Formats: sequence, structure tokens, C-alpha cells
Amino acid sequence: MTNSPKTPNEVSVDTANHRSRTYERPDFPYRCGRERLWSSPCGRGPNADGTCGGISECLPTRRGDRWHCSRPIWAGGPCTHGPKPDGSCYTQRPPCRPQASARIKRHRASLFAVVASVAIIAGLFATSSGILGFDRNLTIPGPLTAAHANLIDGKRCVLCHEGHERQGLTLAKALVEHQDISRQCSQCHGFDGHSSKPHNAPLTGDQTPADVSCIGCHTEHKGAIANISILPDADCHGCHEPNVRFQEFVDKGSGSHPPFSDSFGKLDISSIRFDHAKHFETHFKKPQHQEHRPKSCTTCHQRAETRGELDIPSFEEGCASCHEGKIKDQPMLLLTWPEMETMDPPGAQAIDHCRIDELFNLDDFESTSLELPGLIEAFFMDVDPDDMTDYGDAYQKLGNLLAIEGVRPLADLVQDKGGDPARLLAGLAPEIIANPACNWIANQEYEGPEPLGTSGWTAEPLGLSYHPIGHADPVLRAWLEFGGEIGSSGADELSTSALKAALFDPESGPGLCASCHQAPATGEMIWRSESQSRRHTVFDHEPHLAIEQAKGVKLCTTCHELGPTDSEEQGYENIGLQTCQQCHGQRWVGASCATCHRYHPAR
Amino acid sequence: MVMARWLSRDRVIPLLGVVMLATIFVATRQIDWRIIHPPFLTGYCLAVLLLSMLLLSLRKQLPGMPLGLASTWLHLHVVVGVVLLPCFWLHIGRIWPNGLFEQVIAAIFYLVVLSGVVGRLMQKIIPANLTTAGGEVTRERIPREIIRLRLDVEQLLVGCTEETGKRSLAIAYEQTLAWYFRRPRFILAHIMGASTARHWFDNHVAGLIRSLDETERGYLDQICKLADGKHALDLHYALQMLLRSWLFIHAPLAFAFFVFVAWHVALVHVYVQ
Repeated sequence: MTNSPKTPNEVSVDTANHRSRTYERPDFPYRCGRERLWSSPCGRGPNADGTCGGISECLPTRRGDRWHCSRPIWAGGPCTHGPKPDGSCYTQRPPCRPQASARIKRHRASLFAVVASVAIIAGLFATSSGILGFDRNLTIPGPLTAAHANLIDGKRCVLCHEGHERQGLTLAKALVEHQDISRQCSQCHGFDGHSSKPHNAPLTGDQTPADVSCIGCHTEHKGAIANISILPDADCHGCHEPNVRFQEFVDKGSGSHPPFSDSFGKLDISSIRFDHAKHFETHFKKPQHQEHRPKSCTTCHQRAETRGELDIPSFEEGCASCHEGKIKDQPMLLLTWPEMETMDPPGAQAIDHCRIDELFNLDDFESTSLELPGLIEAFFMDVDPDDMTDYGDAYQKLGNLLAIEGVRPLADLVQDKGGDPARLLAGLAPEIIANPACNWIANQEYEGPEPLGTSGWTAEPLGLSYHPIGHADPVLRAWLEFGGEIGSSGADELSTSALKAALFDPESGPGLCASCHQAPATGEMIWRSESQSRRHTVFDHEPHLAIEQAKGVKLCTTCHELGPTDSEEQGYENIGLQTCQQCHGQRWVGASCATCHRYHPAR
Repeated sequence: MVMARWLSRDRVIPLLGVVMLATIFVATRQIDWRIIHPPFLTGYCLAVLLLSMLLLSLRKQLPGMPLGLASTWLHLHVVVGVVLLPCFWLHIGRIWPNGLFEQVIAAIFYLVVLSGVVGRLMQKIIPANLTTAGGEVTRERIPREIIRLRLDVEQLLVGCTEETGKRSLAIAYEQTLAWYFRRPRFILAHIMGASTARHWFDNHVAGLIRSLDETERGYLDQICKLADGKHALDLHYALQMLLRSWLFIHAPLAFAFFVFVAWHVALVHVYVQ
């Protein structure tokens, strides 16, 4: 009872005298059944087991040889009758049916809920497993995407989830075993690298990255039309350290996108060399060539079928009109029969084979050839082309052999140096090399019939040359690859360098090809021009060009600024972060990671 | 002193909740995904928070232990419950999941939260209304108090009959007012805040008073005063019943939720983890 002034409605409860009332126990599990029926409750109340405790008014106590009533004062005190002689209470009543307290009822309701839940779960799983005649999995966390749903045919969960068909102890073990879903994914999805490593490629150096799981980013069961390949930035931020975290694309300090590399946007220096600045500015200065000057980048680079890429024109489309003629006019001189101080007569077999009727005069020898040996054959013959005494015997020996055997001795020399005669000497007929050899060992110039065509292997009066059939000639390609791959060491260094110099001289032979097809940085031969390799970035040119065209502003050069000519970057400046930030990161243009980057490298 | 006053339970526990939620949110953004995926992180956080919700129930089972005030535990229970909701959304990445099983879990979760919110609101509103109504009486005590009031009224009727020699008041009581004093009446009206009970009683007294003499009216006045107490007891009974009844939804649903969550965790470990 509060000490506040009593209001008319105030409940009048006497709490002052504890002897005048029973002790209410809210946590006692049962209430008197009489009280439940709004009758006077008995003094003793229900027992703890839920049975009625009020059949008698009290439990008499025995003091000495007499029984005494123990009815409490709040229940009226000791009764006048007192206990019966046998010690039982005089006042007996029919038992009531005690009522469970609210707490017990709540406990029972909770227990019922638990049992019902277990039953529902069992029902769901029984339904899913077909026990109840249904054939529908009700426990899956959501429909699969259409592609996966078709794949698993609606019920073969085990394709992805190994634990699905486990039972008994193995099911219990599955609770604690690691389930590698990525392994199941990689059975269908192939990557150009290790599927469980970050970005599908084991990192180099001291880094030992932990394995990643496909489901870390791609969460299935989001619905048939869910696109589980488009991921939020948070998926990238989950791994990337703060110093490379791209919280904002726009420049906001340390949390911004890191600056692009110095080479970003420059054309790949390992691709076919093409000086854009020259082709825009230098080559078309003369008035008569002005009409051929490209109007824009898209004059040559058409939009490719591949999303976002631009076609690189083929040689025939973009280069042949100007460069085809020069390629055909620049033969490769493979063998030169050199000037000799003196010569031995040809061998009997060679004389017979070549049908040499008249031998030269040994005493009054005058060399028909006044040429120096070629650097290419000098490399294969291991001779010094500037020392006549060094190469003389070797050339005579080779001449005799070639005269008799045709191509084979030359092929042997090529093979000895690691070359592939089948490619390097492809199409070389024996008589083309044998006839000039026969003449040279007889100290004569070869005067053969006019060649049938202007391309291929040609017997020269004092040697052997190869005239390319045009662009992409397979023999010249083989020679350039051989020259690019051959190593130089020790004693061979000088001759190897000489060979490379001969092969890659832009003014002679295959060197013209190398002026475009040799990567200046690596020396590697690049035969097909491909778009710049971007393993983890993607750029769609099409929308960018569309915007620029709509705005009527300058086109490709908005990003690709022409640089100085003859630069390694093929006439282009690099693209800086600020170029992209002009639009991306602003309100109207997206700047999520996936806009420009892809997790899985391009194949 | 000012700091100590500011750091009261009402501020510290909600502050703790905010810190807890912020920590979970930031952790899902900062954690290295190669170590643990955010859904697993939020899932385990949810599991821990859910288990901590049981602490209140445990505290109530151990009334004799010096474990702090039950009201403090209740406060903690409420704050953790509030944290659970955004944490749940963070876990499933949306408001309503796709799968039937997950939808059942979500439905139960939302019902538990809703019943908890309703219960908490009732805990805030109803005690104030009871205080305004006057008096304090426990729910367990109300039946005895009603019985005591009824006995007092019957005692007055016996006295009236003995003094006046007339049974008119006793008969009228037996025919009309006895129904009212028998047990709590007009429970729904009391819950709704209507004064139907008072109107009902006043109407019957007005009809009865014309047939009574002065002495009987004196006794009737005393019965009316006892009826005021009955009104208050009925109000207490109705509102306290309401105050406890929400737990009959909240607690069973919460335990059902635990069962579903346990099965969900098992499924996740068998199928995914």
C-alpha cells in the first residue's frame, strides 16, 4: 500500500500485518482451485506436485500425548473442535483441482512451441525427401538462378552440396567438416588460373594468400532472375587492404582510388609497333596525301563484336595500301658465294654431278665473286666473314656438298644451330641451291633461267635469296623468330650479334618485318596485334564514344592524347586518374569497382 | 559526480547496444573475407546475441542469486533485442528471405520482435495507468481481495437485514449486484479504458435506490464505496492480465525461433560451411 492519499477507487489492501494474510508466491507453480473459481481459497493451498493441499484445514501437531490444531492465525487460528484423537484434522473438505500458475502455463506453451517447431521442421524435411509423397524441396533457402536450376534439375542438391545425401554418422560429421563448395563450382566453371586463389592467380613473392571461396561473393538461392555475378563494392573491400581500398573514386585523399600506373592508357609496348602520331601528323603532310589522312581513330578502329573492344584493322585493311610493295621488294639474302683468294678444284664427285667440263686455271686464279660472305651463313658455318683464309675452306667444302646433295648440307648447318630447317628452308628446291653452288666451285657465275615468279627462293648468280610472297610470309617469320629466340654466349656472341643485326636490319631482308613486329622492350616477335591485355580491368569504348559524339566534343583524343613521335608508347600519352574522374564518381556516373574491374581475369 | 549520474543504466546499456551494432556493422565491412564471410560473421553474432537474450529468463529462474536487478537484465534484454533487428537484416541482406524455411524463421523472428515491442510498450504504459487508477496489488492477490470485498458486502447486507428487518436490499443485491461482485467483470472495457463498469453499476444502483428507505440507502452507500474498490481491482486485474498475456506469445515464439535457428545453423554447417 502506498503512502499517497487514498483516492475513491484505490484498492484497499492490508499489507501491514503479514500474519493476517497468506504469502503470495508468484513463482509457485499452482494456485488453489477454489480461488480459480472465485471462492475463498483454503489456507494451505496446493501441493508442489499440483495436488490439492487443502483437504484438511491444518496438519495437527503432537506435543506430548496430545494433538493440537495448527491452523494459522490468518485462516482463523486454532479451531474449537481441535484434532481428532488419531491426529487428523477435524475439518475436512472435498479436494479442489489446483490451477497451474501463469508461469507454468507459459512454460507449457513454450514446450508446445518447441515440440511443434521440431514437428514442423521434421515435416518440412519429410516433404522434401519425398516421404510424404511430395517431390519438392521446401528447405532450400530460395530458388536458384535459372542456369543453375536447369542444371540440377530441381533436386540434385548434391551437385553443389556434398552434405545433402549424408545420413547418420556421416551427417553428424558434416556438421564439423569443411564443405568446399568452390570445388564443386570449378567442376563446371573454369578459370585461367587457380580457382581458389584470389583473382585466380597465386600471388608471387612472399605473399601466401589464403584460399578464397566462390560463395564469398556469389551467393546463390536469391531467385531465378537474380544476377549473382554483379557484386557490390563491399565484396572487393572485404580483402583489399586499406591502402588500396577504393572507398571513393573521386579524389578525397587517402581513401580514394589509387592513381593509375604511368603506363595506363599508353598502347601496349609489347604489341605491334604503330606510331599513331606519325600516321596522324607526319606521313600525310604532303598535299597529295592529305586525302588519305585518317579523320579520326574510328577511321581504322571499328567497333568490335566483343563488348567494349575496338577492332584493330588487319594489315590488308589498314596497312597494305602503303606498305605492301616495300615488303615484296626487300628479299633476304641467305647465302653469298664469296670472293676467294685461291680455290681448290672441285671434287671428282662434284665434277661428275655438276658436269663440269672445264676447270679453272689454278696458277692464274681470279675469283669470279667479289662479294663478302653473308652474315647469316657465316653464323651457321662458324667462320669470320672478314677473314678470307678462315672462310675459304669452309665455303669450298660447303659448295661441293651443296652441289652434290642440294639442300641437305645447308639444312644440317641450320639444325646444328638449333634452327628448324622445315620452316627456315621451306620451299627450297635442291636445284635452286645446287646450281649456283656448281657454278661457284667452278669459279663461275650462275646464269639460270628466269624464275617463274617474283617470290620464294631464288638462285642468284652468286648466292641464294628469298623473296617474300607478301605480308605474313611464313619463311621470313620463321627466320625472325629464330633470330629472336637464339641466345648468344661466349665465342658465339659476335656471330650471333651479327646474325641478329643481319636479320633485324630494317633496310634489308626480314628486318623490315621486325620494324613493326618486334617488341622494342623485349625483342620478342609479335605477330598478331591484340587489344591491350587487361586481366582485371574492362573498358567499354562504345558508351564513351556515344557520349562524346552526342556532346560534339573531340572524340578519342579526349582520353588518348597524341604524344611525341617515335616514342615507345607509339605516339600516345598515358591516361591519368583525373581523366576518368571528370565523369566517374560524380553523381550521374557510376564508380563502383565492377564498373571497371573484374575479379576473374580475362581469358 | 555528474559523470556518474550521466552514466546511468538508461544511458549505458543503450550506448552499449549502439556500440555493439556499430562493431558488427564495421566488422562485416572490414573483416578479411578470406577468414570469414560476412554472412557467417553476422550469423555467429546473431547466435551470440540470441543466446544472451536467454539471460533474462535465466536470471528469473535464479531469484536468490546476487546477479543484479532483474530490471537491469530486462533493460539489457530490450537493448539486445533492438540490436538484433538490424543485425538480422545485415545477416540476410534484405528484409524478407527467399526460401520457405528461411521465411518461416523470419516470420517467427518478426513476430517475436513485434510481440516484444508491444510488450515493452505495455510495460511502459500500463503501470502508469495502474498508478493513476490508484493502489498497488499483485496479480496473485486480486482474487483474495475480490473475495474479501464480496464478504464485506455480504456482511453489510446481513447487518442491513438485521437492523431494518427488510430483505429488499439483500434480494436486490442477489438479483443484480452479486453478479458484479462475484468475479472481475467488464475486463475488455477496462482494457479499452471505457467506464462501462461504472455506468452499469450506477444504473443498477439508481434503479434500486427508489425502493429503499433511509437506513437501507446508508448501507447502499457503503456498498457503493466497496464497489469503487471493486472497480479498481477489476482494472488492475484486466491490465495486469494484459501485461502478462503478451508473454504467452513472446516466450513460446522465442523458443520456437531458437529451435528453427538451431536447425538453420546445422543446415548451414552441413551444406555450406
